[in-house]
Amino acid sequence: MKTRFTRFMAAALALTLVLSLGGMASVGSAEGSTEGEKTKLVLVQYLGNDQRDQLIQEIASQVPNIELEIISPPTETATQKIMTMMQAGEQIDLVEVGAVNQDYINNGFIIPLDKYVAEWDEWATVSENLKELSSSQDDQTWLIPYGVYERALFYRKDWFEEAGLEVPTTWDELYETAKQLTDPSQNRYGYSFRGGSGTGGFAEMTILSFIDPSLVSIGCMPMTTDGKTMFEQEGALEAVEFYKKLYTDCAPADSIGWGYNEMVEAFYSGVTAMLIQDAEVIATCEQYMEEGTWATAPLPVGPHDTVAFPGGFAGWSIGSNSVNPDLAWELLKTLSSEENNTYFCKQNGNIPIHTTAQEDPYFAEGPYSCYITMHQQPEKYIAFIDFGSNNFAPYEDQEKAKVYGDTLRDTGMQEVLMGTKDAQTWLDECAAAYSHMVGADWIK
Amino acid sequence: MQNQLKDFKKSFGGAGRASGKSNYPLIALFLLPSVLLVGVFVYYPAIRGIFMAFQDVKSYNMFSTEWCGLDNFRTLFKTAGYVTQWKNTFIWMIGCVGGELILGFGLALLLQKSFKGKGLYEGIVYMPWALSGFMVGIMWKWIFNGSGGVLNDLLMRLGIISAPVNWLTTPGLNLNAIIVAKVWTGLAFFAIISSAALKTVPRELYESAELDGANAFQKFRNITLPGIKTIMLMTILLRAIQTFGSPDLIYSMTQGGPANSSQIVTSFIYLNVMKGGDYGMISAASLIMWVFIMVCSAIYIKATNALKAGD
Amino acid sequence: MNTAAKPISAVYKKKVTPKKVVGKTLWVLVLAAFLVFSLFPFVWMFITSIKDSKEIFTFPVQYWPSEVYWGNYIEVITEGNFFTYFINSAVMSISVAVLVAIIVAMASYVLSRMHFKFKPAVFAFFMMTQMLPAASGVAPVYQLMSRLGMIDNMLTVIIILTASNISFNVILLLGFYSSVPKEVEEAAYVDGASETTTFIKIVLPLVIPGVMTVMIMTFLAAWNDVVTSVLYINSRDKMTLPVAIYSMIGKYNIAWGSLSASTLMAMLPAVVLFAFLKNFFVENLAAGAVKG
Repeated sequence: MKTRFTRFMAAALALTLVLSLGGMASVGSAEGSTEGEKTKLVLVQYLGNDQRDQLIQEIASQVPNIELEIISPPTETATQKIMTMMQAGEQIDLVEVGAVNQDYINNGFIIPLDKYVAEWDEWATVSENLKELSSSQDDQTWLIPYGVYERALFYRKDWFEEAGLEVPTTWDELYETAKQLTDPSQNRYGYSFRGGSGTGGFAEMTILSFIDPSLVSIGCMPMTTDGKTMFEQEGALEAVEFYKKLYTDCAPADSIGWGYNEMVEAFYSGVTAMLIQDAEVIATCEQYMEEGTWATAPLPVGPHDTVAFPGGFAGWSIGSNSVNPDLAWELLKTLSSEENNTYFCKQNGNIPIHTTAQEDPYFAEGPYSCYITMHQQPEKYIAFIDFGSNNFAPYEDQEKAKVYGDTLRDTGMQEVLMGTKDAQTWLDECAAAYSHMVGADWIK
Repeated sequence: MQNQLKDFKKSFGGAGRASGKSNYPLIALFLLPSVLLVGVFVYYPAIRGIFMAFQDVKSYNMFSTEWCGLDNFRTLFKTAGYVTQWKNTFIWMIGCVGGELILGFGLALLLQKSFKGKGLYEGIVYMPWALSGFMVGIMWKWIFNGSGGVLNDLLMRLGIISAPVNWLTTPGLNLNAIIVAKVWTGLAFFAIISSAALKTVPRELYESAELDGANAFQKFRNITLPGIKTIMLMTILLRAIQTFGSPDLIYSMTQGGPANSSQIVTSFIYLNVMKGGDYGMISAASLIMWVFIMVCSAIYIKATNALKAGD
Repeated sequence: MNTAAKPISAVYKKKVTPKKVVGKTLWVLVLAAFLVFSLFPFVWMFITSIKDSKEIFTFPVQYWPSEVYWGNYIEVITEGNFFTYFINSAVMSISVAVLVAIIVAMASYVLSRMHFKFKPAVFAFFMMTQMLPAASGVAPVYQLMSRLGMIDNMLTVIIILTASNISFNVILLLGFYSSVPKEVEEAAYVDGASETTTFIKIVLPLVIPGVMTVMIMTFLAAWNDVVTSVLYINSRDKMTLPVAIYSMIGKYNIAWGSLSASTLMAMLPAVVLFAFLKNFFVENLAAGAVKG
């Protein structure tokens, strides 16, 4: 026993040493970021998967003399990991961002791109709306978008045909249709309701679709053009009550815990008949559902015949710890060229950033065509900037309004849905969270 | 066992041991790796965290070292659901440790008897303990699923419920559902420790009690319980500390929601670490938690005399 | 508790009585209930993993797929670099287990056998870490490792996991050392053996069960780690198995079929190890932990 154990421990120790040295050796090789003529660039993203990594690598191979390393932390931990990496000064040449990231800017984690875009000829065809979204209050450009995430209505074509139903074009029709398709005994529900994390975003969309469209401040939600907040506008209460009704009558009670994953999963697995989500769900549907069982339609409109929806997008910024910002720009420019971006968006399920590319038949026909319909009527289909006030409001003001994002937006909405909080109380609390911004001069 | 325990206490009771060698270079050499590693990788970040609890560090201002007094604590106390968090924490600790203790100890008693295939049986019943919280979370979230979950289906087939129950999204129910998952993994821990503790009770005591005509309950109360008290009390403390500090199941099953209804102190901290935001406030929350555990442990040890019970 | 008290009578009473028969039946039933409770989630996970994605969400639930579908397993094994992740996990966990065992064996020995001034302080030093909140404060260590150029290096994960497993195991192993009679080493000293020799040749062999317990416990903890590995490992080819599974719950889908398959496969090594070493482990852990 004794000698056997000693031998075992000796062997185990030796193994550990070998492994450790192996580890050390790999550090040695990783440290030199320039290997031969090739420079190693690092791209960090929060929405990673194998296919997307390959896609980016494929496009990046057009840039000579670089070797690209892609880091994709698991989605849930990505925010924390990327922050920690930046804080420690790790090399990050390109970082994926979902908006002009004020945290990154204020900490000095990313650099402005103005001098680069000034010399970039293809910047001209990037949609004006996106250019606006990519710049901060001082009009500096901080990122190049790679795609637009816009919402559309996904529906079960087969179920609609079976029941002889028309695709809803208004919120009221959506409710009625959804109610008809709801049959809990069959585990079928009319609408994929998002009641968990992110429910507030859908509530915002509903409120903005119920209030007078001329009040909607595209760049500066949740403030309105009259200098007040959207929560105190006429129609807001109606909107929240409608939103609650949709949850109670047309969705499983469990959906109060649904986030993105669950709502999409419920749709493609045949639990729900309708879903309002971004374009990347098209790829998911193509993967999991049979052709002809689903289709997309423009978003339903509210009482004023308009609908407001967050014009979501994502893009890449250049990190201030880039080994070679010029080279990083070279890569970013390549990824963003009309040809490459269109290719990327087709594979990744986004709407391209160049207006010229949206004429591509791929986007003008099939499931993407609803977006073209929506783009053609911007007065009816109003795209607003998600949390737009963050781009313009001073930090102190944003800090004061934090209670909205932290507790009112999702948690408070959940309380309304569960019936533990009155809809009007919630609206009042939300309005109070932004009351210090009312009439602020920075509101566009 | 009792003697060993005394021996053990003597070593740390401050009295010291007359016969112990004191070769300082050797002591230093043997302690160096452990003290160094724990110092650098456990204490250093923890101490930095304590400082940060009094500094104005936010996600948009990460390099700030500006002192802000008790501001972080004020922000924390104003956080919606802070009281619920603590209430849930107590439910969570009592539910988990209590459930694990009762079921684990019960299982250990049942397994006092030997039977064919006992080894295999133990192997299976203790298996859940080898799993990580995050995997346990995946498994149970799927079982508890409100619309297509197997638990609802089973209960409906058995006629116990008539409509699906939303285990994880109904406030008041969801925390209990997570406790079930936690007890599932943790009962093995108590069963293992209880089995060992039961072995330390001398057989002769039972035999002489039987001669005196004691019944099963009397034997249990007068011999078994006093015999295992010390061990069990210490185990309960260790487990309570561990349970307090493990948010993984709550995080993976409900993320503390909906509307904070299943949030506990540690899951709130974990959620905020992942989400980013007010780092000063998170540090303040951690500090309060640390002080709380230390005070509770001290009170518990004093109250139960856990370390002295062997004398 | 009622049901628990009865078997005690079953153990210690020798006469056959009607009460004993009832007790025995009840005992069998309760043991069966424990078995079902423990096994059910695994079984359900397995059934889910062999279903085609279309049958996963049916309600009423389908208890056996209309056709057994192995696609989820094939997908996990072929597409996800499963074996690389597996090897990474094994290398990392074994290294951590061995390092912790060696370091803890030394520290516990000194704490148990040597007499020195700061002993209570050193003991408190280890004991206190049990209570430190683990979730916060990753940034300082990350910065340190970053400055040392040790990011995306398995060695970093090994070191950090080793450090975080030391305290608990020092306390665990102390129990084993104190069960070794002092006379054993005193005899060795009389024979003129040095302290180091006494430690390695006389005392250590006697606490091997304890050291093994430490190794197994640490192995499981390291094998199941997600938080540290996620933070420090960037490259896919250095990922561990639980991290790879964690990554699957991405934004794009949460596929219960392949998630179940890979979770079961990631559990397998821990479960197999546990089943093999269970008797040994259970006894030793209990013997040591009760004194901690």
